[in-house]
Amino acid sequence: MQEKLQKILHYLNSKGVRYADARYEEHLQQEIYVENGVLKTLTNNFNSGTGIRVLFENGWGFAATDDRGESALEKIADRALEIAQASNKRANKQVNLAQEPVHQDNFKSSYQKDPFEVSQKQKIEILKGATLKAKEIEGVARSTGSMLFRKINKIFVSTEGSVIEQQIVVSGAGITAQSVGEGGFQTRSYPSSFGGDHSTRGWEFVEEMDLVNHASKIANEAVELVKAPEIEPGEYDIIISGNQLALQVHESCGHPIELDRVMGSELSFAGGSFLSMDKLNSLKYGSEYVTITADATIPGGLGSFGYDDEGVQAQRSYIVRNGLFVGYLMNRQTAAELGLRSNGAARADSWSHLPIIRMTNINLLPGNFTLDELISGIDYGFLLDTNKSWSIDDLRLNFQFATEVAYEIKGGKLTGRIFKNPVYFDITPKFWNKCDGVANEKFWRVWGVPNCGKGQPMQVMYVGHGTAPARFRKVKVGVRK
Amino acid sequence: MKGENFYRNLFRLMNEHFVGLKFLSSVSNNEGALTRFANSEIHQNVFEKKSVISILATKDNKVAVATTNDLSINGLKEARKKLEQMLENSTPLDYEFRLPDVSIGYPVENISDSVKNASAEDRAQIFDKILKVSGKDVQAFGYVSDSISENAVISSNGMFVYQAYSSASFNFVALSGSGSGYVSSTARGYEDLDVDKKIHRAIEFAKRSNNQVEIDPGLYTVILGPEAVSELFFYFSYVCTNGYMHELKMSPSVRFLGQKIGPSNLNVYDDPNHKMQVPWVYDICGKKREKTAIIENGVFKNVFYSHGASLRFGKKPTGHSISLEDLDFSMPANLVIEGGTTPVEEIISHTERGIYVNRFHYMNVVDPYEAMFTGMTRDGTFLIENGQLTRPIKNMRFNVKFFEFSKNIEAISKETESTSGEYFPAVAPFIKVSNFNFTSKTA
Repeated sequence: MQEKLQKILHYLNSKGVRYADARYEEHLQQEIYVENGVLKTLTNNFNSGTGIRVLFENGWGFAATDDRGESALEKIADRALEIAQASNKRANKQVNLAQEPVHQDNFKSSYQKDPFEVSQKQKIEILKGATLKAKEIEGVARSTGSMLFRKINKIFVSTEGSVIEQQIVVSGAGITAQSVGEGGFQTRSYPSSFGGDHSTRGWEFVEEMDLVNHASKIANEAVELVKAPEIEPGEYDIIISGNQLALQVHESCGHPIELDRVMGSELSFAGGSFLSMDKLNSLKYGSEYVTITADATIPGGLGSFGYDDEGVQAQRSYIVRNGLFVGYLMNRQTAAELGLRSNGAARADSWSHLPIIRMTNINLLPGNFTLDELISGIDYGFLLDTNKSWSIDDLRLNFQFATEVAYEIKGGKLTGRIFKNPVYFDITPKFWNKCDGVANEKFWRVWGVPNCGKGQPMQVMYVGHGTAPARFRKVKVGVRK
Repeated sequence: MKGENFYRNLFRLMNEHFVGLKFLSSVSNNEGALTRFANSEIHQNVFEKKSVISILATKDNKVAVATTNDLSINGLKEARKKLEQMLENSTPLDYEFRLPDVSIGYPVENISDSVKNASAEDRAQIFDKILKVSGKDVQAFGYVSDSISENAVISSNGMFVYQAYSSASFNFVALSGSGSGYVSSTARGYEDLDVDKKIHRAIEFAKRSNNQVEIDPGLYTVILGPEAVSELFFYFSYVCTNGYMHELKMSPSVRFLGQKIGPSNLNVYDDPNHKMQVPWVYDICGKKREKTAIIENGVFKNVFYSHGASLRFGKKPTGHSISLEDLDFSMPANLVIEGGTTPVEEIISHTERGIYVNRFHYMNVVDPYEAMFTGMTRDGTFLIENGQLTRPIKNMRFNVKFFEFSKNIEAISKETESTSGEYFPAVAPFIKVSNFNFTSKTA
């Protein structure tokens, strides 16, 4: 395949393009879904195809096909070129690409056990066991469990001479328990909501979750939540657990640092960003406890890889350093506008889509506290756990999150009392400046978010967020009416 | 486009290569192009061509699904091998599964020449038009796209249905200083997109929405534009019309189905034959889709049953299955909120004080049992004073329970418009509602 791709780039070179790259990808995916001990979904999904990106003078074009015939690549190259020429007719400014060394490399995400080598029966039995265990608890109406595995093989070649082969393996799983009562239904999830947790590791990642032995706890909490009170609306000191903080980082930091969004490319759909370029190196984004990196190099992170889909090597860079906003996520074109090297954030979710700026692993670095120390600093407040709902405005300022549960804290201790339907809201930089402590590395882990949507046509990307529980002062909680 | 004969041949091949296996298969082909612009420049310009076949096989009351984009004989053979492996490892469902009844229907082709012949240059010319009308003071952001889709549903018990349809779509954010306006539209072809009329509104909103004032959160009378109405009813249909969740008593429909939930002129349908909708006439299980009432004369009339949910609960399938991989999920894909009798100008002129909302941003479900939704206003939010849109206001966050919203509807406009939507296009009017709950404002 590599030779075919290189041949097509020679062809495009002969047509006078400034730059072109081609990606061939094969995606293999397996999904299993069990409800109340009954297997409902067992799927195997394979697709492959080629996407070709062309820069003609100052116009971009992209075309993709899954045709396997000999002439298909040449046809799709012609189509990409025709589109680039139509773009170029209306181009007003010079397109430059930040310099990147030529790479000829092979990268594989590391795993101990290939999830596709593990028997489906074994996977199904784990999910059956976990959901039946949850269902045993009186008051549980429904328990679900799911697993998702993916293996992506891709070849990237560019007219600059890069030739990169990569294999990324993804594993993920999760369970839920739901209880119905007079006041509605409540859900508890493990290890996180919306499909659980995901990683670029192998089957060992799912084994370590020990789903079966966590089923009873979430089931009991779901039942208890139905009868639990709601929080009286007001301002409270709160601790946000790692799995919820992952989404908090995602929405209020990860998206607004995408430089294409800052420059307006997403304005008509997902919106813009309050982190305009005049704020770089000047905005106090958060308190001194807040240091955030973009790191595509962490083994196992769902946003980890060897090279992005422009052939830029995976990197770690600072986004927020001790509270100061210092960096963006960039591709080669936007990096060139800042006179910088791309930090390798151009990613496509499929061979059929153009790479756009996406999160990698956006991580809130650990602090020095134990969780008990964070809790002991709260006179009255709550520990909020596991995401239930999220929303943020078009500049990524006004956000509102709901979590599955709030654990009451009184006199510096968890009381054991739980509250349902907690909702908190704030304005992004105000919120992060209220942070006065992040738990230490023992509590820190990278969470996988497998459903990050952006772009038109919509692309759904796998990204990661390293977090530990963190404390925030005087946040409005319980705003729902 | 591959054409009906390709799929008929596939029908023959599948029945040849899948002998001894009961199957239901959905096969589709899509060729789509999209030109995206920002800061009044084209920055993304793409074309994609892809096929996919999903095959559900069943044996001993077990099911498994294999999906591939390799439609060759080898690809089909490989899919069969995977299916047999999966069925071996699978376990039986807890209800009696059978393949859908065979739909009898003529092939449906509904393709506009304007899409069939569209090139990158044609899409760029619509962008040129938007730029020309925008002038120097307004920056343009948005996209123009078109696609041709084909879909056939094939089964081992003899089903063959085929549909092909085109769609054209655009959206446009006009930006003038700190002011912005937004419009969108989706139709069968470019000729029905109404680009000219709509772009003027976005530009007008952008120019009028500079220097926004802040207002306090609280309960307000609100007039929602068609974009905002479409979003709100999309979330309603997503959360409240799934028959599977209804039967599990985990849907708000349990309390509201059959009840009067709004004024008598509130009529909401799923209608694949509506002239302003994209004609999706067979669902993924091959069930013919007909116009179906969701809310009629203010009464919440129906929830929808996918193939799996219909078998499980002894209901008739309603033509709303959208995935072979989740046989229980249903969704109305052609949402039409019908217009009333009053012109929107009259509705506005009879509003002494309120807020006009053009569009919502990032809606989500806060509490599915209460059908409580949140989101922000965006791209054209104005104070209404003495029957006129007067001052632009800063964006606000709402938290609204749908069934309180529907009860509080005061007026529905005569005019309806097509909107592109994040997931499905919709047809919607302007709606005036009281006690709309804004809970916070942006910075």
